[in-house]
Amino acid sequence: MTTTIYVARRVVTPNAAPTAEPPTAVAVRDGRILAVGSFDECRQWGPAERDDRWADAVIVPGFVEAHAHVAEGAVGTRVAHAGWFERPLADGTISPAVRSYDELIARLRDLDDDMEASGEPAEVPLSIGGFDPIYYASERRLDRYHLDAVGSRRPVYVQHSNGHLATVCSRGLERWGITAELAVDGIGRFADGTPNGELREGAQSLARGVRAKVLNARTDAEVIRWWGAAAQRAGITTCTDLASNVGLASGSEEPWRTVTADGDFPIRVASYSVCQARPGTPDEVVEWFTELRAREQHDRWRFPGVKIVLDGSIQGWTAALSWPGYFTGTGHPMLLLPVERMRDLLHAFHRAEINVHVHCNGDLAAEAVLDAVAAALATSAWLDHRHTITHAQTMTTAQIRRAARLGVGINFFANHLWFWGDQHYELTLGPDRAARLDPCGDAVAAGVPFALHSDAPVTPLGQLHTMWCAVNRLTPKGRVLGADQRISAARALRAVTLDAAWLLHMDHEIGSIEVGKRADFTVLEDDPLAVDPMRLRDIQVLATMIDGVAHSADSGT
Amino acid sequence: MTSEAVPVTVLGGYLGAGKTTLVNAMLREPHGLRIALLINDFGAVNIDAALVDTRSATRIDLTNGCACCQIGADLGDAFFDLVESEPPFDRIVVEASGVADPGQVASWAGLPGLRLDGVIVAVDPSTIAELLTDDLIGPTVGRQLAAADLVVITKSDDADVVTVDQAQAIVLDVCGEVPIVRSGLAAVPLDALFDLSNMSAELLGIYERSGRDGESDLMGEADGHIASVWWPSGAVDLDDLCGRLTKVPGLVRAKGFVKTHDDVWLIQLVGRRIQTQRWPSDPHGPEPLPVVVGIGHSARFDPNSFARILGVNRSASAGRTSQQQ
Repeated sequence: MTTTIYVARRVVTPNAAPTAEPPTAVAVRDGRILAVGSFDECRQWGPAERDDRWADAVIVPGFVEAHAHVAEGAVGTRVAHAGWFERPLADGTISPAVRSYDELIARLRDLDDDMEASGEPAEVPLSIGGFDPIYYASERRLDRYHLDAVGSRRPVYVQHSNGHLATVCSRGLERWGITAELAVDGIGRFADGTPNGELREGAQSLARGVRAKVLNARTDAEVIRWWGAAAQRAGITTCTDLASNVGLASGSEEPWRTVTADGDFPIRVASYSVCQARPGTPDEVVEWFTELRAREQHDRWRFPGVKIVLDGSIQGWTAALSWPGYFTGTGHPMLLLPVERMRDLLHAFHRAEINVHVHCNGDLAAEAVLDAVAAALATSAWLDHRHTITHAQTMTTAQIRRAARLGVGINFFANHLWFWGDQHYELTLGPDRAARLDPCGDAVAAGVPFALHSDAPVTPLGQLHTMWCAVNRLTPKGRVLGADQRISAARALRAVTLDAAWLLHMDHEIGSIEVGKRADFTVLEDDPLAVDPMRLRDIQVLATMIDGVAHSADSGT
Repeated sequence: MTSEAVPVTVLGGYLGAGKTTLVNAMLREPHGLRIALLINDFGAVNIDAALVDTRSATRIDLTNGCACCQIGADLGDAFFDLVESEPPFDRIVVEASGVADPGQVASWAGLPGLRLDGVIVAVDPSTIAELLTDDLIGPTVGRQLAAADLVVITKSDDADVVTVDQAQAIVLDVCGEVPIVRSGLAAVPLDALFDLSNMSAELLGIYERSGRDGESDLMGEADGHIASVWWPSGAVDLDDLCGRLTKVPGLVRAKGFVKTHDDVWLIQLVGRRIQTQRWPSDPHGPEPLPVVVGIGHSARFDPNSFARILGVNRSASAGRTSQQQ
């Protein structure tokens, strides 16, 4: 029974400070928190080893990411990246920003050289992801001729980050039989009817085999390991795969079972399978989930609930926004399942006392979920459901107050404030609604537990960056979107630790530094509550600890 | 004889519109066709266990040659599988999900070897008004209706007449002029919807004319719909004929061969979609006999007006183009 006392410059935790002075030490025994306070207070528990490795650092609760996707593990490892912003890749290297078609072509050429050098056969496509057309609004749309300039002997495939579109080169069109005569909707065409290289929506699957590579990444043990390493480097100790296909595709459980059973895997995983992808009556779907959970769940691999995806995305013009709709452009509000099916599934899981997280970008979608929870509560009084509206980007003040009354949690996609804040101001929502994008201030006022998330790989993992977004609400062009919706660093820290754990029904185990909880910590080089708020995202993650085992953030292991 | 492209019927409509009832009726019918049904949840389809030949997680093959295929993550892949299946199916019917845009689903019928027969959208008369005015659901349902070549009002024997008439008015308001079929819980007009009598095969077998030029005969009546056959007199102007077909009251489906001055053409109409295709001449076989079969709602469609509208005064309006695609 070894006890180790970790001494720090400061121990910061979102729960009320247990001692008169700010704590500077935490004692760990058997992977759990034995004591927190000063070193002298901690050692009153008896013989202990003092560990000074973090004596100059700050210990916070292990970050909890309540909305990410394992596909992050494929970024730069399985799928090359060409995003508008600099970005960490899953292997820990950095992908520089791509800010013009010339830079995109150059990135593709480098990739092509690598593929040639490693002897990849010519039929293997040259594919890249992360390209977002919304930043190129003033340019000629990307087409086949841009990509022909790469000069590759392979089909070139550029996946747009909104998921609705891909652009392929002339060789790709030829390879996949995409001709002027092929009458498939979604084939972009020049005025003369010849394909221009764009493949929209379903037509993307004409490029056979390319998307499968991305989809298969979800059941690839290597990708899961990369994902875990990337999360660990970002200081995350519990990471959610919030659109899991575990239990939905054949062979989907095995790689997760293997990876999470490995004691060196540095994170705890919360899987939320997409329950709407499971056919059957709602009760049958609940039964399927209950069996899956009973079969697979262990300490490091949790099944707190299920996911439902209700609408599309704001930047993809498919979110279900209420009147007056989109600021510019034409919206195509998209429902991914019938509202009645969402309600019936939510109700069935609620009756079985299983948590449900519903993807809602538009406020109309959020309204439907609030209605569904209200109806479920009327027939089955499970008050501690913590059903969560995730993304929640355009929720109104009234909806947030209603969420508070219904016991609904919120998980804001705060990274949008930075990555698309200017586009929401200028193109999708307009100045006034952009000013209350991801309205964390309203959630504080209403007393709703809420988390902040990255939706990785849509934006990179990194809770400090996500906190920075919610605290500063700054855009790349220097706008502050809704100063009144800014929250304090302390509130933001709580959102990415204790409240995120609450949304996952895990706040009794993790999310704060309290006696009896798991020894899950993130070690920072500076105090997030003391630095200039503009510096939050620059704080270095030094290490993490999970169940009392430390992992250096340098090695990622 | 040249093999035709495999016709694809897309059946759309919001949750509860009655789509599964229609495809269940289709599968039950002893039509003798090899039909591939693409569906999101094949647990919803009633399949007689005795008919199951082989079953996998995503496909059930039936002893009668039909197959039910579950649509997975990628609809395109499901279509590719069907295009490549040997021997080819006689028809493909897709039951689109309750939130899918059937127009987008239909676009996959543009793959080589396939042909879009038509987009049929099912409407439950008792809910359509409410769905269309719902802020969240309305745009989806509106898009579905806008994609329809033919609308089927389901459960029409279960709803009162006023409700059905109101639903019809709503549909016409959203869609513009579109042929509407009424279907009941018991009586489903399968020929009108899915061409289960396989008109083209039957037409190819007609080498002996039983009627006179420019006349029409009643072929049969079932489930509130009647079929009529029209015998063209001599060569026709194709565009003109297509325009006339769209004017026949109550006509929901038509198919036939006609001769122009130069060629033989196959004409196919499903609702407001008309397709024409030059029929390749076969030196070893007889030329198809000019004949057009139409199916329409028995209350509005009658053989006499079918012949009158198609047959009179052909030259007077020659050159008009109202062909749709």
